[in-house]
Amino acid sequence: MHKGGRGPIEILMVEDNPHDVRFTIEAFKDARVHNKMHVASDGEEAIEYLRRKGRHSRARRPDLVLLDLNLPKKNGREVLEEIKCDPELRKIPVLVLSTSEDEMDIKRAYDLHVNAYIHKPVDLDQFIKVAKAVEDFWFSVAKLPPR
Amino acid sequence: MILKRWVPFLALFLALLVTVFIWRELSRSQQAAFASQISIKSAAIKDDIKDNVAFRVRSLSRAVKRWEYNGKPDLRGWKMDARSLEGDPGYKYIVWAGPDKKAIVLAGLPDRSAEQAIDASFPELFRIKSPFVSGPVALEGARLGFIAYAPMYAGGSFMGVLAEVFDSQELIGDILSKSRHELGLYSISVTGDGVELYRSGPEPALEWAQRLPLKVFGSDWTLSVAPGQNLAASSISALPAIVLVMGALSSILFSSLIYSAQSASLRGRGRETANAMLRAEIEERAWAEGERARSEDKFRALVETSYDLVWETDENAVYTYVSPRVKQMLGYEQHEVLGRPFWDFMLPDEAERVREEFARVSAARQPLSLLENVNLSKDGRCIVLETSGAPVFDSKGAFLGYRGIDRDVTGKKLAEEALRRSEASLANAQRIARIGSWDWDIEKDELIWSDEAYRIFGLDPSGFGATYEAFLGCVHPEDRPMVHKCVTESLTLKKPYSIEHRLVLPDGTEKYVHEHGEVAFRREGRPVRMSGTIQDITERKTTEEQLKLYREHLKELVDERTAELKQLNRKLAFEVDIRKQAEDAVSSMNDALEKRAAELERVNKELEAFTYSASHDLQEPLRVISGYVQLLSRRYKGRLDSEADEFIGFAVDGVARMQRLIADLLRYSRVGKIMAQQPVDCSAALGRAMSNLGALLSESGAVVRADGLPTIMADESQIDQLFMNLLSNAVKYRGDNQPLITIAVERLGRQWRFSITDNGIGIDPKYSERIFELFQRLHGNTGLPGTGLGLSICKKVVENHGGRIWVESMPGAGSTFYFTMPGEEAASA
Repeated sequence: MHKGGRGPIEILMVEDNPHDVRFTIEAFKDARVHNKMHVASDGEEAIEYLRRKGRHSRARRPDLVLLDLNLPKKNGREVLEEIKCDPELRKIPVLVLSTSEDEMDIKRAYDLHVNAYIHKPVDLDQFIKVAKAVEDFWFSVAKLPPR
Repeated sequence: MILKRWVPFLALFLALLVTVFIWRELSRSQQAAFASQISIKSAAIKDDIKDNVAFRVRSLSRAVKRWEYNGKPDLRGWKMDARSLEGDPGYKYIVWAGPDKKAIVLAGLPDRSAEQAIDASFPELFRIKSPFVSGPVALEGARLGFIAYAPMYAGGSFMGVLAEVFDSQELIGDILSKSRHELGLYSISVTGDGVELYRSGPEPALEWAQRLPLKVFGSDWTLSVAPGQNLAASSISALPAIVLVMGALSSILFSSLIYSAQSASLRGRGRETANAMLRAEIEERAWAEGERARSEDKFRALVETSYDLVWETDENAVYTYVSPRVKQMLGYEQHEVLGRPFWDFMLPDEAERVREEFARVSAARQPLSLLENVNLSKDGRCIVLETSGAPVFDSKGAFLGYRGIDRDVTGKKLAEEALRRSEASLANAQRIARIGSWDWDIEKDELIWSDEAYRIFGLDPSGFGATYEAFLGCVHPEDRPMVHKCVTESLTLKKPYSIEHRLVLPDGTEKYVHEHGEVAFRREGRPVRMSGTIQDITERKTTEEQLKLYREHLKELVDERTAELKQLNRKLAFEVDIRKQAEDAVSSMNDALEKRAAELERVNKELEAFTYSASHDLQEPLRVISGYVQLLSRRYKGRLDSEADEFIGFAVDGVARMQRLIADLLRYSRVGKIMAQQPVDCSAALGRAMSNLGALLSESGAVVRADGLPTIMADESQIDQLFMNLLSNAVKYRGDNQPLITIAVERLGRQWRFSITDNGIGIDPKYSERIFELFQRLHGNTGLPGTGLGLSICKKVVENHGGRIWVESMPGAGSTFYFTMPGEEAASA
């Protein structure tokens, strides 16, 4: 529906490593996903952004959250828990994007109602495929509630 | 001589006095002999019971000592010991009570009542220091018993109590039945706390009962022994009573004789006066005939009223006259007697004796003086007569016959006979009991000894002037002062004495005697006489001495054995010391080894942690490099010059290899910890490994054969890894052949042995060890791909599961990798 002409997909990426941030942005670019990427570099900032607090008072609510698990201040799991406990925020699809393949990490994320757990591919081509798949699924295949 | 009127009464009194005295002495000595017989029996019974019960308690206590020696309760050993007791009389069962206050039956048939008794006494039980015997305990089936307890201390601390329950009736009954004393005629009972533990024998004669305290290991029992009523009745004869009765009768008879003699004498005096008067009349008036006849009448009257039988015989002892008294005395009428000789009324032997005696006496014309003879009365009774008579001569001096009297002394004779018999019986009793009696007239210093007393002293009654000094002379010189002291004290303190001392017999032998004496006093307190008994106890003493010797010998044996045991203990202790030292050495070595192992483990863990974090942290920057190099390659390929493209390609390859290496290192370090042991189906694991290898297998056209792989207890992901690594190796080093891989498994005892055989390039056997080491590769970077960690990971996985991995191979002939896995759990799963 966003592709339908309502402008770019608003994505909040929660990631502390600037190299990863940039790489993800580039991968989404190469995947030709029409998006606007907002970045929160730690868990607290992510929550502030979502609640439009502080300097994010005028932030738009994102269409999708890409969440890393290892974060400073508030880690990814805490952020996820807070989002999924909030009646307003929990509508937003949250995707964990992590290098970890640990079964425990995966299980705990789904226990906290993550929408999808995605292993961050090392291979660039793979990453581009993932970005495309995310756009295809969440913004074409899946029907989301109205804002 | 005229006797005073009171003389017969005095005689009666004296005779009765003598009779009573004899009766009293007789019955007293008889009773004393009987009482001492009972006390000997009861002492013997007491010893028997005490020794036997003590023996049983000591057996129990010995078992506990064995435990103490071992230092801990050995229930199994004791159960075997206890079973061997099962046949013993009175044995019920044995119980062990540990400090947990739980009674464990070791052997025998438990008795609920006894168990309650044991449970009830737990608090006290755990305070006892030495074996003890309980009071009476009621057992099932209305039986009575007692419990012997023996505490166990090991190293000074209380470990528990061993208790044995006895059926007292059965136990004591058995002891008494084995006793060498004949007890059948005695009533025996054992009581404790007023409860009868045992009773046997006939109805007791309670006046003879003797009670003795019976203490065994703290038990406070009383033994009561009494003769049966039959025994008491037969031992106490009626003899004293007969003596008493007969003596009394004789006394009366005797005094009446005196009385009649006195009367006769009085009448005699009357006759003299009459004679005198007659003579005076003859002289004065010469009325001879008539007066003579009258006088004869008077004589006749006297003769006929006399108590004695008056008679006359001719020279051949044929009666010519008997007074009418004959009727009372012999039952014959006068005319039946006249014309017959004395001996016609006697039994043949007596008749012969009397005829001869008469012939002898009459030949010498001597008087018959108190000739005793036994006549048969008409109704067949024996009548003893004492015949006195004087020869009668006519005026010319010719011998006409005898004139005299017969006195009936039957009563006296019977009394004498009874007395004689009683004395004989007393002497007999003394001989049997080896008890002599004596009587010492202190004032005259005359000792009267019974025959048995003489026998005990080994002296001849005729050749011994029995005085107190003479008696002391027979006493053993060492005992003499003691004996004299006792006798003197008895005299001064007026109390009986009872002592044991030795005698030295004339032939030099020694004897032990038990002497008992009592003093009689005059009214003013002066001792008059002393009487007592002397009993020969040499046999008992000898037995005691022998027993003492045996005991000493036994003690010597025990001491010897104890000494041996002590020596053995010392040896053992020495051995234990040496062994302990060796153990200490081993243990300190073990400690050192353990420390070393712990250190190694710590180092290993640290290494693993290091490897893990290093590889993990290495991955991050590597991912960045990899990502951006890929981005560079993707966006600028063909836009720069061809060299730049080549360099970027190298960087991409290098980063990729480094990533594989790091991933393997991570895997290797993760294998360090077994995650979860669970049943792993090896076929499924192989399937997963093959699908992970997907492209590699399909590209090479490999054929994998596997059959009947088991389910084992293992970490699933590690087993997947193991199969994956071995399969990928088999494919990677395939040479030019199409890979043919066979996986087989074989059961070896408790293990599975897996084998993975390929048809690849094979391995030189000299490398068969090295290939499992970290980073060891046989092929350079240019050859076949690999990180040098695959087989190291395999080795670590297998060893983590307690197995072993090795390879058998020849270059060009393929390889077989073997590994073992534990098979026990899987086999049962």
